[in-house]
Amino acid sequence: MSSTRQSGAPVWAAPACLVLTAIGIGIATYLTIAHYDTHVSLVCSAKGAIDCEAVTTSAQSKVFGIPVAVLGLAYFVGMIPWHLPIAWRSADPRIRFGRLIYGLSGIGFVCYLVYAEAVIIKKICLWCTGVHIVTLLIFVVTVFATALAIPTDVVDDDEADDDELEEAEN
Amino acid sequence: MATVRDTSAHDGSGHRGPTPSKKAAAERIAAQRAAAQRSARKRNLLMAGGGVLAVLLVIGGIVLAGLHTKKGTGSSDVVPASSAVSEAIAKTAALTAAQPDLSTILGPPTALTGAALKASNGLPQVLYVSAEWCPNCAATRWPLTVALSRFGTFSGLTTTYSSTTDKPSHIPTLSYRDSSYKSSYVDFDGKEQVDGNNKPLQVLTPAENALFQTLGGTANDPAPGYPFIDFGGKWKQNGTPYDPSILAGMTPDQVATAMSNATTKAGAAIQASADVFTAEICSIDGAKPASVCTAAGVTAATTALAALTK
Repeated sequence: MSSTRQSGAPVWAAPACLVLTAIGIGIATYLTIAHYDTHVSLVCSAKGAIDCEAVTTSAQSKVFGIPVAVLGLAYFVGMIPWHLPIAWRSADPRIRFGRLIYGLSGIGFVCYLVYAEAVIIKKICLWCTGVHIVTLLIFVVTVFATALAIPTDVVDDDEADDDELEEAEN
Repeated sequence: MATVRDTSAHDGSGHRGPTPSKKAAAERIAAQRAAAQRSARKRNLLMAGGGVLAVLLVIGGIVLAGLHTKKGTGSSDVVPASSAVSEAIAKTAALTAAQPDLSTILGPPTALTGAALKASNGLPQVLYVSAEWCPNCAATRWPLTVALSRFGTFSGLTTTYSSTTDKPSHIPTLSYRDSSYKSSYVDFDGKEQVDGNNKPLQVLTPAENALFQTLGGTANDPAPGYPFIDFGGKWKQNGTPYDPSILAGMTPDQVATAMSNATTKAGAAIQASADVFTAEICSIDGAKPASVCTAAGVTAATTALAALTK
């Protein structure tokens, strides 16, 4: 009798996370292009607290000299392997916890960027907020899908283990 | 001979299947497993919900902190210029041989036809009126300092950043508030009229203020604005010569590193603007020193200036 251990993750976990990741890649790509190509302006309101240019040209728009837009794009691209269907089907705890930690690292960075916008720059970039929301949604889906995933053994033999049954009978 | 009693179940067709007791045991085990899984899922969901709630509370707290912090102009500290900045200014000032990339000049100067502007010592004067919060001023001070360094020496230069609530925001820059300049060719009067919090800093003399009120505006906007530079009464600069967003996200030391490298955006823009400012100073001081005013880069800028007067 042989068996394989599967994660038991909901079937919607992988497609939901991959769709959100694709959206994140799209927005991050747009922000990256706007950062490097001065001919590309962000489509964004400039009234009141909303000012994309002020945020994306601020000192906080770079971390260790790397544009935040580029870091965001790299983050979402790096997220793809964690959310492939084969990764969600795997019961390997390293993949499960690695996925959670990767998502949590994104949340940590989102907290810093929200702090930069709200407290330091005091302006909001709508596109950046879109990326933050996508990151948060991926984290929420990951957390709940992981919570629902109880690893199960798929037994090839239809009969239950004889030892277990004998113990149950006694 | 004893017979072996066959205790296995038969379904009539001769096939041997599980006994009723084994079947019941299997069902009991399955039920126990299902119950354990439900309990584990419930526990996990509670933990997941708690984790997500904690994250939302943290983000919400940050947003609330932002709403309740005092809105200011986002001024930055003014600190003495680092040795890296001072050395970079001197290094860039020596780069007069290369052809400037004049395509980086977005705001060219305007020729003046009025009286010459001279200092009390008789030297032609460069008057600079500015605000420390102003991002266009932040960009302008780099090439102006480089240009003036070709004719004399600065001391007491400081560095700071422009306002974080203006755009582009937080541009690294120098400040002239504590500086002095010595030259035998030209006099420099750099006035930081207001600081990073828009509070009065250095006062214009009545003559300087009259000049600023008269020449500080443009055809499109007559109101005097920052930055304003009067080069000896022969040229004026309203606004920044190049795009200040080029310096966004940098520190003064990073600008210093890039400034002497014409292959960088910042380097190309600062060097080109410095050459234009140098050409303007050469036009008011009798083209002295010759080593500066006849250098290839300055000559190219002089030719470009001449085209503006046609």
